[in-house]
Amino acid sequence: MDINIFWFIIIVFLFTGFFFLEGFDYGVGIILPFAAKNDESRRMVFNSIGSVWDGNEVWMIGAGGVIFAAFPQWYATMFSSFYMALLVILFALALRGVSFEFRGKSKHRTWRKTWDFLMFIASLLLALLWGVFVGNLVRGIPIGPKMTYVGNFGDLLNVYSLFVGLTFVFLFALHGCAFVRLKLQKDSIITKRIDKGLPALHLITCIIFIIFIGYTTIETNILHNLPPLILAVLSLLALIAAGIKIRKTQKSTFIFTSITIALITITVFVYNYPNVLVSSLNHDWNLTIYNASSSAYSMHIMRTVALIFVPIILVYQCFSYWVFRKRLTSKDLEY
Amino acid sequence: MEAFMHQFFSLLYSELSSPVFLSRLQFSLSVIIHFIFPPLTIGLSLLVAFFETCYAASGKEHYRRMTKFWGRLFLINFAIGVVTGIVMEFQFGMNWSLFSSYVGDVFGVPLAIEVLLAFFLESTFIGLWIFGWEKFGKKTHAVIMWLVAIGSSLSAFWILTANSFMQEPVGYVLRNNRLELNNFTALFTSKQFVLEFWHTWFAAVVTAAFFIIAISAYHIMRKNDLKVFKLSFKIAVVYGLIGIIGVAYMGHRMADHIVKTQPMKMAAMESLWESENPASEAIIAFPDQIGKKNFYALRIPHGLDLLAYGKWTGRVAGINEIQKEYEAKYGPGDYIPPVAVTFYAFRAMVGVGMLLLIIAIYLFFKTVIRNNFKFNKWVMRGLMVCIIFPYIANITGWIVTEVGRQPWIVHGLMKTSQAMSPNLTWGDIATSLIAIFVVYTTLTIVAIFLLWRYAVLGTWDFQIKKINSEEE
Repeated sequence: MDINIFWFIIIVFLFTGFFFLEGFDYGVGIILPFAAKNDESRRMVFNSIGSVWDGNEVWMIGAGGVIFAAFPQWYATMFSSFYMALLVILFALALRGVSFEFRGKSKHRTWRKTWDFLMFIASLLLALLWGVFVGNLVRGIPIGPKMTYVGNFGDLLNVYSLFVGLTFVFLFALHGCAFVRLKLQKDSIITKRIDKGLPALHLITCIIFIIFIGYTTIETNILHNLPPLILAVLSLLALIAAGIKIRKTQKSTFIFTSITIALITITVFVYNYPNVLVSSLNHDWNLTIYNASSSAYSMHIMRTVALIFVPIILVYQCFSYWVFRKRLTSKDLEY
Repeated sequence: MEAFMHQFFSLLYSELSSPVFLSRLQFSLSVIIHFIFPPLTIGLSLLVAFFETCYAASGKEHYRRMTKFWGRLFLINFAIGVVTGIVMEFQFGMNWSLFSSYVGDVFGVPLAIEVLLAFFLESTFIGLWIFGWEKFGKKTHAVIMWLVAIGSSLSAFWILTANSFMQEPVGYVLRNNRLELNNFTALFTSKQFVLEFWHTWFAAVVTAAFFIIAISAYHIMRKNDLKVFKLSFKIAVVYGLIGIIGVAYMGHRMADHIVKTQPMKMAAMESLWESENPASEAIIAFPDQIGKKNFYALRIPHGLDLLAYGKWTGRVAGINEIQKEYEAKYGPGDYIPPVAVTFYAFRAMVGVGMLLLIIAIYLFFKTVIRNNFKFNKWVMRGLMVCIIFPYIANITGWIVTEVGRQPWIVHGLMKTSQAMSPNLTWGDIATSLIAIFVVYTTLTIVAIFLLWRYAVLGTWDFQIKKINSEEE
């Protein structure tokens, strides 16, 4: 296989894993104030991802690191273009990350409420901003002839991208609900609360998702290509399927929200391929998997490393989920 | 001295209007705050893993308390180290996109390997360790901590591989208007890397050792859980002594090395403007960055020769000579790093290091050899203050390495002024500088507060369980 394509696939794989895993992590944060009404419940919601969130977040860092090694120009242009957005993302990640560790460190009410609030707002911002990020990847950003960004921060906050952000918020919230239900006792108070609101959340998410697909059709020429169209339709079908007997079938809901997120991520990259960053000014200035790539030597070294270590990572990450496969009980409130 | 201070601040002031300088300031602020935490993570993770192994092997209750107590402090420190570290991974692209595209072919490789080998390992297993006390047997749980510890050290290995390339580029070829990798193994077998890695790794050991010494001293003074804290103290003293000897030895070899490979950095560290043979060592200097001389310097004859070559005489090139040489080699320009910063950072690092070496030797003979914990209370308080010294040395050491390399971002190949993201304005960077300062400082204060609180708390909440099974 063409080594550039190999790396492109690895990066799509990492992004897909990132949105699938961090999707429910952020979602859990977003639903925190709605699903849990007392301190004990909130700790329970935190602990539903407590053992895995850090491992999940590395998928994002992994995507960033691998882009740097395989496509340095993509890394350079993308990260400098999204400067302010990434800064906010990084702060949100920081506040969210420490809240897992810091929250339980004092029994003080205000202390805990502060970290609960930061958890919620950071997760919401992260879902929104990664949505804005994806929106701009689809739409294209003002990249000049020298592969540098020539726009400003405001250019990234266009209506379309913000709408993609909104879609992500709802999609992740739904995904988070589906995940939390798998981790808690079937008759717990939190599960009951979630079950109550879930059909409405599912319906709203479906509507937003349909508008999102429609809006994408108007904003971009995505429908002119068959593969992304099929993928987009499939992701919508998966989302609708997630709603079947939503209160009773916990596993299938999660499987279907996962499929939706995975398909929509893949769609974005398939749509752009072989471009990795589209210039909204001139398509000759696009970054592709060829003009933004590393030398063949670097990519081959990295391929050896990836072929050895990515499977190992998958094994031990699956192991970490398997260890904590049991539903949480009130005994697991420690920490 | 007045003239020196006046010049220092007027230079600083005039630099503030430059986006590149501001970007450097922003980057160094985030690195410095980040770098408070990883050394303790690296050093302490190994010790916690060691304590837990002792527990798994012997089943003795006090080892469990040691693991739990130091483990809890480790986790607070780990959390903040991780979140401030994520920023670094992105910042190369955000602030220094021209650097990233110019050296990414080389530099990105160790960084990506760091993620695949180290970050995934430590982040996944830290979750298993925190929540896995009841799920795993003692031995498996200890193995998990070893995996976290190995992950932390591997992370240092690969990030320093990337950094040592910036100090002394190896294994590359200049092709397609950028640096391309042509020898992967050269990156982590170069002398610069080997010395830099071990120097930093031993510094991490020292940081953890004095962290434990200080906190144990606090509890020994109050007679809290003496079994745990005296043992922790002794282990830390041995660990710290090994560490500080390692740091000093590697540091010495490093000086020996960079006098050849980065002579300008060496000259700036010594504020040596004119070449000397025999070369003298400055104790105090007030460098004149504009006049290219010292306003004043107090020098010990032959000192620098002993330091750099381990010989009585030898020629060390001065700043002005190297400047001329570089002008001939790289074209006109200013190749002199900020001398005062480099000079004083170096002195702070070495001074602290020597102090810690003396303390470690003293404690080793008193507590480890003679098992004598009868300290004057002021000595005990002094030991508690020692917690701060390794941090000073870590940060100033980093400043020597990075500021002393200026104006280069990659030594001899790319200047810092050519590396910045072209789309960023002064306002963008000023905003991010202030935001990073506020968020990071707040998080650091909260983390220090929590570390303090749980350090002072002691092991009492771990003692409830089966105190009667204590073998004493």
